[in-house]
Amino acid sequence: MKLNKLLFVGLASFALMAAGCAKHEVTTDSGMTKHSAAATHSVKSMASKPASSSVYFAFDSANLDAAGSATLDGYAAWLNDHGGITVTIEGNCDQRGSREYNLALGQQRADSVKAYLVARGVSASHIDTVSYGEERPACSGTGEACWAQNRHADIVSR
Amino acid sequence: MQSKYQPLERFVMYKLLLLPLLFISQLSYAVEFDIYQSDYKPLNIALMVDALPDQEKQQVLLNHVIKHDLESSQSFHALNEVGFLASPEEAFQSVDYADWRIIGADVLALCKLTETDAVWHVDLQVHQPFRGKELLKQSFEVKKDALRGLAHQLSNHIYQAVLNIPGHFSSEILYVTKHGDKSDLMYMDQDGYNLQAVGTDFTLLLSPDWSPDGRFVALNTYVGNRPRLETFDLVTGKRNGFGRFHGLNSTPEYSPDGRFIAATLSWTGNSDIHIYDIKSKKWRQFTHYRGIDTTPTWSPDGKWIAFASSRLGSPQIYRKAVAGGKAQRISLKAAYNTSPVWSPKGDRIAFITKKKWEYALATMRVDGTDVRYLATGQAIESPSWSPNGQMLLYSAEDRGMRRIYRVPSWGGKPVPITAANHDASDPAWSRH
Repeated sequence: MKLNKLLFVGLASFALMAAGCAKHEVTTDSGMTKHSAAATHSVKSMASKPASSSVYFAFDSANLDAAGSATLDGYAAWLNDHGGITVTIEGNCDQRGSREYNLALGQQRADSVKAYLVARGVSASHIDTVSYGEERPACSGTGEACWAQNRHADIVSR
Repeated sequence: MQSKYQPLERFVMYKLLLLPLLFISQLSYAVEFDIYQSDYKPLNIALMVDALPDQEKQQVLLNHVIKHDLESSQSFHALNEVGFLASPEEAFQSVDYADWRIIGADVLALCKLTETDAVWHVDLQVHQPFRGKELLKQSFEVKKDALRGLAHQLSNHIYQAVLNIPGHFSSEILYVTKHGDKSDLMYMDQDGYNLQAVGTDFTLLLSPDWSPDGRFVALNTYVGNRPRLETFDLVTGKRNGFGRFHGLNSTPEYSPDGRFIAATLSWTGNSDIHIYDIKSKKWRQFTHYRGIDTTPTWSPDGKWIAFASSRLGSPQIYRKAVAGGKAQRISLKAAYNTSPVWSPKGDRIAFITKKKWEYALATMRVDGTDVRYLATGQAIESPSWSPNGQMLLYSAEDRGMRRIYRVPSWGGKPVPITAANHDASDPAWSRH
């Protein structure tokens, strides 16, 4: 299953990149045709950047669920294909419970994502982690629909 | 244990002497928690301040500050002076205890204010009419601009004379207010006077803690999207980073002797308690657990650190000897216990606990027994003891706004001490 998915992602990305290359073919002022830098990489199949860079958690938990693992598998493949990229993983919590404890819980969530990516071959030195605890909620209301959105870790590349 | 900090015991002394009192107990809306109510009844105090007519302003100030201090402790109820049977002049000449017993005054406090060129002079007497006894007779002098400070000192002396517990009325409070993405460090006297921002425009500001000498504040802020630990100099306003590791740097807490700061660091791969030596500027790792260890708090003798840990999955409170050894679990009830803060006397630990989805401020003995639930509230957080251990501050949400509340540690009414339209969190009570 996982292999199939990766293969599909790989093929899809190849198709996308090929299409992208065509668009990146630009005509210079001198009238010569020139390839963009991206075109030189398109000869081999590469994982595309996953659409989602967020994984979600249960209350007071830093364990990854199946959906989170699938997201991270895609992300690990993309990071492994783009060896130079460094990312920061930001851990967040919902507003229930102690703010100070939630800072540590957000860190644990970020660390748990980092460990997963490292186990799939991503270099630990390319991954930074930070916790915002419950200090930067994505959704500021109350209720599980809102809290669920706030219990997340995001992979951010800057 | 010493009895001088025990409000219940001290009440027994007066119990038989008191006239029947109306004590309206706090209405509690808690569903999950049985809020602890002590049977302590506030003592009736008759307070009189005598002064010449042209010192009326100062007379009113003394009267107001002392009355507010003593009533805010919930250990005293000030009697209305309309019922007094003697004038201040008469009382200062000779106290007729019968006059005060008849109006139910458990305590009579007399202050006489006089002015010289350079100073204010106050003569203070404290009496117990029902025992026919003078507890205190003392004179004080302060510079002309320090009358308010003297009023707090007089409150301390009255409190100590009657209850045999040091007063906390000269203490100070820090807290955090957030506006947009920025946070300010706020200062006020314990009675809310003198409110001012002492540090402004921090990017997130959490867990401020006073150094024992009152000069510095250890805090957790973010610089360039990274959490770090800093000390803030209350005199110069200078910020000094001392914990800037990868990952989490949070919850700094000064040791009682001011030589160390315990904090949470996660650069080792998970959140553990580490101890910073202020003099040598060196860190040492104190706990070694693969999950979460956070929010350290020192015992007043500096020999123990209690902290919250996820050793059993959900957070519980543990303690470990600073000299080393195994971590021992303290909290026994409920599945979620966090934010331990050791009392100044050392016999109890305040913490936040959860039942179902309700949270409460509670205290327990250091072996986890005798849990007393003191208050509930939305987003109830950040307990902080008064220097004499008689009161606790905490923050909670009131209609979407965080406010700071004060509640007696022996069970009483929670009272908000910050404004309803002003964000306030992370209270820290000075240690003196």
